[in-house]
Amino acid sequence: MNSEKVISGFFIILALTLNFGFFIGDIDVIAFHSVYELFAAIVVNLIATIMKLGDKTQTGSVLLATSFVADLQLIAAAVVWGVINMTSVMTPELFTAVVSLSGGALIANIISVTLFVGETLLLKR
Amino acid sequence: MRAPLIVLNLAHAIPVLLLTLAPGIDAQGNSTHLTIFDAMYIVGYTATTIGFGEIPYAFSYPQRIIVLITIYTTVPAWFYALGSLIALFQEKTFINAVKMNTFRRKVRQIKQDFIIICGYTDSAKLLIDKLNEDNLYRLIVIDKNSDKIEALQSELYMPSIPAIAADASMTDVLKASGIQSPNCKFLVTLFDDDQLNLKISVRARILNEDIKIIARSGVKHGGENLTNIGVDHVIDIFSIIARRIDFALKSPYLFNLLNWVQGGNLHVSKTDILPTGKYIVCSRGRFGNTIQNTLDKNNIEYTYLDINKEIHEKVSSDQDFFLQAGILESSCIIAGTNDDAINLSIVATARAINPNIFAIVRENELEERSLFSHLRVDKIFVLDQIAALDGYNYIDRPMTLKFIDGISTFDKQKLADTLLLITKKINKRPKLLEMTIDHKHMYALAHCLASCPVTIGQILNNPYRDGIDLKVVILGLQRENGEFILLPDDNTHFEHNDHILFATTIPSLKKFETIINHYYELYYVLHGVEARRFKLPWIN
Repeated sequence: MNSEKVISGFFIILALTLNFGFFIGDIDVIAFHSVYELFAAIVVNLIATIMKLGDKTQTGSVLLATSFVADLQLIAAAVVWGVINMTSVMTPELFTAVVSLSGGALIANIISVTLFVGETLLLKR
Repeated sequence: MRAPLIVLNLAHAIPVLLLTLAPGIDAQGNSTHLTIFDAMYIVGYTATTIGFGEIPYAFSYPQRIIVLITIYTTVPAWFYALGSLIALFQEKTFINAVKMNTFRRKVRQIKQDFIIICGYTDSAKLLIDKLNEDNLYRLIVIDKNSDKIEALQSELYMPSIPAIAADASMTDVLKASGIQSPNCKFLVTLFDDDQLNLKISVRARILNEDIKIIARSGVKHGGENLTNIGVDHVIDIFSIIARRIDFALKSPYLFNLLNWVQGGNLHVSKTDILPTGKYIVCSRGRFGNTIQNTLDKNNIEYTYLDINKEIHEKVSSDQDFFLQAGILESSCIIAGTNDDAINLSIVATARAINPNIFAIVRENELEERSLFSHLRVDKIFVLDQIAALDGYNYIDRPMTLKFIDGISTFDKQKLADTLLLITKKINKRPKLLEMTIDHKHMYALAHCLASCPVTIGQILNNPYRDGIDLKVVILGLQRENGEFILLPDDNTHFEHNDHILFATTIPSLKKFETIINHYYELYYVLHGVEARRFKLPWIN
């Protein structure tokens, strides 16, 4: 058993699950989407990104790219939420933008996990 | 690289989370929580150690966003710039350039006369110790090996010795060491490598016509080529050793005086008397030739064994080799190869066959000292030590060379008398010093000499009218015009700018220095009465 694989796998999958946890629920109802879950998703996504750094294989590069996409989308969601809070009042229409951004990140995370699992399955050791 | 990034990430994330969870109280007393943005803002300026205040009014949210962006761009920019600067300061070429500049500045600041020493070798170490003790010249050291330079700097010499790790055979380096300064009096090059000494000497001579160059001649060649290119003093260890053996064969007293001048005790012991029977010389090359010449000159019968590593390996366990050479009939063996291990084994084998044989050993490395003394070798010639002391005598006590030349013409009885004169008056380990009679070194005496003559006896014999003589023996006196008087008698007059070479003890030296530097003291010594103040004859 490779402890490094365990740790990076843990964070990559946790990034997906937290992202999914935030995304699930009615898209325009704030009560279904916890700000802390978004926060945790961002932090764990960043850690997952760091874990993927330094892998020089082809799969490793694509994994890193998916992570960047997920980070970008999640941070964009948080910025939009924060800016709206500061400047005006949150409406269901505006909130839809936040959740759909995190939905995009979810797709990236799903690709990431798929690649990760696929690569692991290819290994015959 | 991953671990620090993850730590950084968590160190931001966890405080943000905790700050949003911790309840606070607003001005109206209501319980409030920080928003995630507020928490991020606080952590942002705290984590980067900025911790600023919002001046002049509390910031609006858009302002805070801009501040956060500013923080996270300017702080890395600072670290990037600082990191590059620090990397520059750690770069080797830059450090060397700075060191070179510091060295140049230190050299320029030396206003006294100084000596450049090339190579911090074992002999250079000894030489520096001796020169530093007398403190007549400041020293500058160049050595290619930076470890050696660091070792030198950790010795904490006073006054400090500017040193640089550089190639002494480069003109630039020599120039940086101040070779062209009028204060530079000597250049000493003590490398074991003949070619290197030659290279340095040639360049030094071109750069400065006036300095005196002292070079050590190596194992392979004599000093002829060095002398040809203008080296003033060649430290040729082999001829020094040959001369000592020559002196020892002539007279143990002469040998002992020479040995004392070169740093030994002034006491003729049993091991100073060389046997006159058959000799066995185990050596090769130039050292062997020099020894052979000396023995021939003194009509000593000897067997020459040309020993090198291969021959030695063949015969090391074979006592027959020495038996064939006639070791049983021999009275002295000289182990003079360039390998200390072989020398040790030669002495050990010889002693095993003939326990009474007189053993003379050439010691190439200083560290082997304890081994040789363990074998109770009768005479040890330590190459590095001999080289250092020869250089030292040439620099700080040039008159010792004339003194030795002078006494080497004495007959046996006169030599014994000379030695007894010194040991009786002083002790068996007198200090040997050189001084000039001028205003700087003998203030009162130099003034006094302008108006009234002073003899040696007047100062040294019974100066305080208490029946006690100063323990000072003047071995040589050199007039300003170059005339050298060996062992001047008590009636010899001092003259201005005389150089004197004398043997003394430290307490007597202090008394002597007091007399020659104080008007009233000198007046009392000369006349036996106290001078009336301000009425000294030589003061107008």
